Amino acid sequence: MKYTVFSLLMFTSLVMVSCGDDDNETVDVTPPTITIEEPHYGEKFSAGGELHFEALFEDDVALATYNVTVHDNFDGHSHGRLAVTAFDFDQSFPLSGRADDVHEDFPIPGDATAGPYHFIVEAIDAAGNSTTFADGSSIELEIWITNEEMAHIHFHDSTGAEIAEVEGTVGEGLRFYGEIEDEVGGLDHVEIKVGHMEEGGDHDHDHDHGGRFLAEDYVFEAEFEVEGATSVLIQDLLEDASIVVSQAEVDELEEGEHLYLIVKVEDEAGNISRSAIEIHFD
Amino acid sequence: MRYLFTFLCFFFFLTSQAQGILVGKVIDQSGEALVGASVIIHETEDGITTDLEGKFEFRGLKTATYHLHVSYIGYQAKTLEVKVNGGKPIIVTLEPTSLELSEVVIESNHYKTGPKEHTLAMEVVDMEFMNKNSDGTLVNTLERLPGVSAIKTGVGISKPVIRGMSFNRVIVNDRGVKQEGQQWGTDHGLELDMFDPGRVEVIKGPGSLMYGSDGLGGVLNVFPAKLPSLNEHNGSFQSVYRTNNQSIATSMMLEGNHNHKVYRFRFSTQDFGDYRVPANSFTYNNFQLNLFDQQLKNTAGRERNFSGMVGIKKNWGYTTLTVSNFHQQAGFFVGAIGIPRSYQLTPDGDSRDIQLPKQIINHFKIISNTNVLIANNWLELDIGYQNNDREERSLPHAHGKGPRPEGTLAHALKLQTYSVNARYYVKKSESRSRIFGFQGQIQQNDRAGFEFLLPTFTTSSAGVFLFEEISLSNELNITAGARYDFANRQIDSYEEPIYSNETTIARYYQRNGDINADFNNFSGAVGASYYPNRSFNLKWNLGTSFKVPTAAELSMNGIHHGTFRHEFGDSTLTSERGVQADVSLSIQKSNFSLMASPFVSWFNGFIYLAPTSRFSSSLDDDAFPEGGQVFQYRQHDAFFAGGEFSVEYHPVEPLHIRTAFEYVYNYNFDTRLPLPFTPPASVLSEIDYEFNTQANWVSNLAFGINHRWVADQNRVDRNEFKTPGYQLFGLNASAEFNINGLAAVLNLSVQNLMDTRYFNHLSRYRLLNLPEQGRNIVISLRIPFAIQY
Repeated sequence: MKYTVFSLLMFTSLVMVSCGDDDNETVDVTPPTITIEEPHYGEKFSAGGELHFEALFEDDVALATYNVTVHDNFDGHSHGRLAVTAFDFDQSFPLSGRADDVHEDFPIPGDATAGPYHFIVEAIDAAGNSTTFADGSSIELEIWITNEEMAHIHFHDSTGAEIAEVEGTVGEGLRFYGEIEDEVGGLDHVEIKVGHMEEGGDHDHDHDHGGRFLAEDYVFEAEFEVEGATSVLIQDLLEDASIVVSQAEVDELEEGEHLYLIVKVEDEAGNISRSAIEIHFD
Repeated sequence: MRYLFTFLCFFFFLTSQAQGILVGKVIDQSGEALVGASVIIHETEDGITTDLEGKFEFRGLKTATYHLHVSYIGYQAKTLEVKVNGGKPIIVTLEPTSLELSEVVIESNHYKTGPKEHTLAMEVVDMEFMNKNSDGTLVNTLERLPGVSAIKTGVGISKPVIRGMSFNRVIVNDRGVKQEGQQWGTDHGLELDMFDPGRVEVIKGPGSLMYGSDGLGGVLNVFPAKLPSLNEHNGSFQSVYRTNNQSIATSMMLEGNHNHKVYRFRFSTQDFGDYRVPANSFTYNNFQLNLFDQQLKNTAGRERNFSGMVGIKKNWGYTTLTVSNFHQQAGFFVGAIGIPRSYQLTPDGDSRDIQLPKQIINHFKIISNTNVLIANNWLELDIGYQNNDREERSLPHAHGKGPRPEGTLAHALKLQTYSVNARYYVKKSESRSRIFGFQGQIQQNDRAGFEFLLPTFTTSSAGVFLFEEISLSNELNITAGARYDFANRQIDSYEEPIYSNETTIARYYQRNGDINADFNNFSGAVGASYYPNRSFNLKWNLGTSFKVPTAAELSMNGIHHGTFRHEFGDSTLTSERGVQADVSLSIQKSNFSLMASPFVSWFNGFIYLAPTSRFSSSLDDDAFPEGGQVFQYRQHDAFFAGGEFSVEYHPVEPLHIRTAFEYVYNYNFDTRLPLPFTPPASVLSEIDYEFNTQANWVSNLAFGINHRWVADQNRVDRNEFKTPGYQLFGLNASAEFNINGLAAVLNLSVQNLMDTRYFNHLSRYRLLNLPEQGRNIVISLRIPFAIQY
């Protein structure tokens, strides 16, 4: 009896030992990489035009598929909005080889609502290894769609002349001038902020995405309801506002960072437009 | 109810009318009488304690074979099989031990034999263990057992993993009826009130023979507390507070036995806020996202559970009817559906509110349990009805061309299950016993909601088995069994309308076709337990197990936001079959115990989700807004091995040192990679010290420190993250107070003492790079009381 029990035990352990090896080294578990040349972060495209996409996909073994998604990022994820005809695109395309240089033009509908959009690129290789958002290997960019109906923002100096940069003095109240106008339909609301933005680069993120641009980081922030108006003046909106930038806030800026006046406008049709102008301190 | 009664009366007349008595004496090795030892008849749940001469006596018993559980503090518990002997006394000799686990009766309801005779590796925990290690959910509490882990979503939702297998590969039986509630989903927890179980039995290894399909990884048998004895009425109040998420849980219980009519009612609540992690931010999608106040917004939850049992308990057995309802609302971390954005993470000023996205689960059950004597043998009959109502609520996505969905109901799944289990125990001779078993189940699943995942389906299954147990010369037990099962899956096709604008349907996309598939399975097991002396025990078991493909595996086609992937079924899948072998060696001395239980399993047609090279949009351009990578259910051969190893040592009587190691290795022969959600190797060590107090108002004073070491998990499936290892420390203290006749049990514990930042490989939020819960101080109070009439 003891012998029977013992031999069954031996058999079981033998099976265990003989199955212990595996050869992970030869298995492809490396996902592809994506390098996007175009569009750039924050790039603007006109409704009715084309969105030019240029990217290099690479994989250590064999590429298979990539997917491009474009959807709006109007207010968070624009849940509960009506009457917008947002540009909505989700399509996958085949890839081949170990490196594939892709050039595509995606048509943007003529009636696309203006505003910020997410442009997302993901890729999978032949073995099923996929890029992910968790490690940032899937790419998400913010692009802006513009159209004729959206509000237009003009920055002026105190004399009403168009300017490319605002002059300011540290520790003194800043005055801003300009006009927001909507040629088709009326305006809905205006957001005015003073904060810093990094120049250029892929990580020129809007605050909506978090990270560097937290609500607390703004020197000034205000929202104005202007329902139905076709034109408002920035100086009127900011009449009672006191906007003062301290030396400490200027010192906090990193190399290449500047403070900006950022104006974001939404019109009655749901079009969103945004303009920013650098504030220059001596 | 009336039918049930008629049915029982019928049984009653079948049973033998002869009455008998059972007398005996409990002594220690030196022949001294043990006064106040507990003697329980398993079949009738009658319990008494021995008198001043160590004697016990049961009167008015039916002529039959009974299982007698004898236990006494400081002595190793014993289970005996006895016949009503008409007066000839039974002498039960107990041997001393300082191992707590040996003091309690380790019985299995369905096998009835004691721990030594058993051929399957099994762990049994009682209420005391669960109170001491209380951890938010029942499954998290059981994680302390070697070989058991949990797949978690936050703190309120967790599902059991046994030896690396989960989902539909672990059976959970509550009161003998298999719990059915969309087990396929990672973020679908186990719908059981953590205060309800009186005892939980964890069977590791193949459980298909007695429990049917899905018993591949193991079986969790959850049993209620023992029925109250004649004319006893008790109650208890329990409350647990956890600092980390300011969780307050309460449970109120009343039970009694009035002239053989038994009852038990329980009402439990749990309310918790957003939980805290030792991190101020996490990184996702190249953004650093802030966690305000270190809280995970919207991870709050609420539970309201009720159960009521009534029954009759006589000398012919007992029958009970239990109605219970589990209701849980739990928020998902706001970033858990889609890509987390910082604007979602700004605090809403209330860390206890449950906003979208969230899940609402209601699990209603009616279970009837009967144990009745028929022709000198016992029949166990469990009949159940379950209604699992699962709602996942979130805001509809704004993309796509069709009409905007109304409301926030993304998914509603309503699963109704009818089950019948019958086991008839026949004592063939002194050394042979046999179990005839039947199991039947019918399921109906309905759906609603603006998203589609799982279609409407009906399933039915039936199985019969025969289990034989032979004990030879009181040192070897041999068990063998065979089983046949039939199952059918009928799944309705689903056509999704594709809109060209707000109102016009351009065409239909078929998510899944009609499926009507039959499955047949034969399975069997043989086992042996060798116990030549009281300190040595060797068990060996070889069994086959199977799993009929689930409706999800056959037909799913949709985006499961719970896992960030598009899951795609395959209607041609066949039954998954496993051959599993395990060995369990235990050596027990009075102050030392060692246990080693290695296992190997080989699976034919193991069903798993395999990543494909396609996106949702590759299947259809318009059907899947916010799609992702398509994962398809495939089946291939797989191999599992591993085991548990534990040592317990008491250098001096009050000092307890325990350590347990667990490891699982698995391998998919197709991908040549490990399988997903494989628990990492870990070692749990505990040192406890019990004080002998002189004061009579406090007793069982104990302090302990514990440490869990978890290895790196570098063996991962494709597209799964490797998870670094970690170490956690914990403290616990417990005491029993007795002040003017009022008893109270107080437990205090600190989990994650060092507030360590770590990732759990089996956490759903691991995918979001979110660390686990930080330091948590748990205070638990239990006040039992007797009611006098």
